[in-house]
Amino acid sequence: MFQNPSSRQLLPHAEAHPAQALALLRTWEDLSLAQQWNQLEVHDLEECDCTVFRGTPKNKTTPASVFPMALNVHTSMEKLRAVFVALETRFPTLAPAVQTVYLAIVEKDSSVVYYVLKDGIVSPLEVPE
Amino acid sequence: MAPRLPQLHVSNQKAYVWNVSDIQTLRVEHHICGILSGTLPQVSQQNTFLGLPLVLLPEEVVLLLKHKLAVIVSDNDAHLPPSVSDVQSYHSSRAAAISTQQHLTLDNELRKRSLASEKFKSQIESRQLEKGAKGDKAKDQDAAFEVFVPSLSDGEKTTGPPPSLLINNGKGKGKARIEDVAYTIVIQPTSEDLPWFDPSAATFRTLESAKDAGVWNYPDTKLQEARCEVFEDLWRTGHYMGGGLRFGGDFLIYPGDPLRYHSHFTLTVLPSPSTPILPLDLVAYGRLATGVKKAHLLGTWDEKARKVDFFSLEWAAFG
Repeated sequence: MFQNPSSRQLLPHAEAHPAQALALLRTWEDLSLAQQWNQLEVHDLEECDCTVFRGTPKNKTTPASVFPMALNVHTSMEKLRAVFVALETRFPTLAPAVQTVYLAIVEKDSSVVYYVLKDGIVSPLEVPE
Repeated sequence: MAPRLPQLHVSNQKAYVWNVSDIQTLRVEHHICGILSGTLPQVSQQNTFLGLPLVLLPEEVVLLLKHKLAVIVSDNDAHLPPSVSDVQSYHSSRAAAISTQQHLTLDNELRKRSLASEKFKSQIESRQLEKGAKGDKAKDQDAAFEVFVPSLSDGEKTTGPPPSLLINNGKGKGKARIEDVAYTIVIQPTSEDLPWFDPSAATFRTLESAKDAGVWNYPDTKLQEARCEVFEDLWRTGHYMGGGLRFGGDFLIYPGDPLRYHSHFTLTVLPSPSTPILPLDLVAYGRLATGVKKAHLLGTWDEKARKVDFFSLEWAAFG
């Protein structure tokens, strides 16, 4: 599963966080090959006991954080808050930007869906008239 | 003398507002909207437009009492058993009002009838001649169902109900009896005029006193407490809240009055920061919210730190 030279670097992270293993592999493959993100890096968040990716979306200049999650593994507000705090210390946001994380939610059949989580009360991009 | 606070009439743990100026105060001064839930008597076969009473969310009641912006009145205890003389005077004044209405209606109708028969004299006469040609037997049978409807004049859409329909004696002819005249029933939304209504001993100004009396028990669980705290935090920052059932959430959050704006958020309250959430639920919330041009708010109340926490969730539109 991790034979691909690009995904091999995920192996230690997958072993450290087995519940995230499939999510890490599939998200890495999808972001690097399908979504064609640039400068994709793996970051371990020790204080949250999980792994996140950092990369720049295709046709964009600002990097973004991605948190791969397995569909059926529970999380909670405090776990998500811990991820946000950890990311803020490593990659601080400059006002007026708010800390943003892409949740990459992976099913057992390997499909990946992406959702955007933002800190606080942030109006939707498409505001209803 | 202290200004009168809006009265929230509580019955079976549900708060109703019956006074229209109270409803206005709550909406305009305290941006608490509630939902109108009563039928409008004159357009009863629809529920797009509803009337009194206004029903409040339990979180709205908690907030109003906590900030001393309203009082709870226990409806059951505020309506005392009426005395015999109270009952008699209520019935007799009602009967007198009905009788006056009936007499006025009857006089009005008889006057209209005589005017109509004068105006359409020639038409009535020619129709009676036609009937005469058919024979007397037919005339007797027809007479029972005969309702004279004048033809429309230029520009008229309707002539209104024919005079005989207002006087319900089944035959349309013969002398109209006063007992058969229809009358309108007026429904009083507030009990303030009733002599046996006395809220003084049934008014509660604090949530604790209402709870002690068994009148208002909300909030009772951790989830309900979290809902109240999250609601209050959003209220303090100037948002308007509505029920979230239509879009799969606990509340809808509006940036301003719901009559002027669509909501920007659906909100789900989690009882505590450690409450488990499945990413599958995040998918459901996020996709539904984005599909209806909103964002989904996840809100929780941290009891230890005594503060609320929010995240905004949307579909990323790629992948």
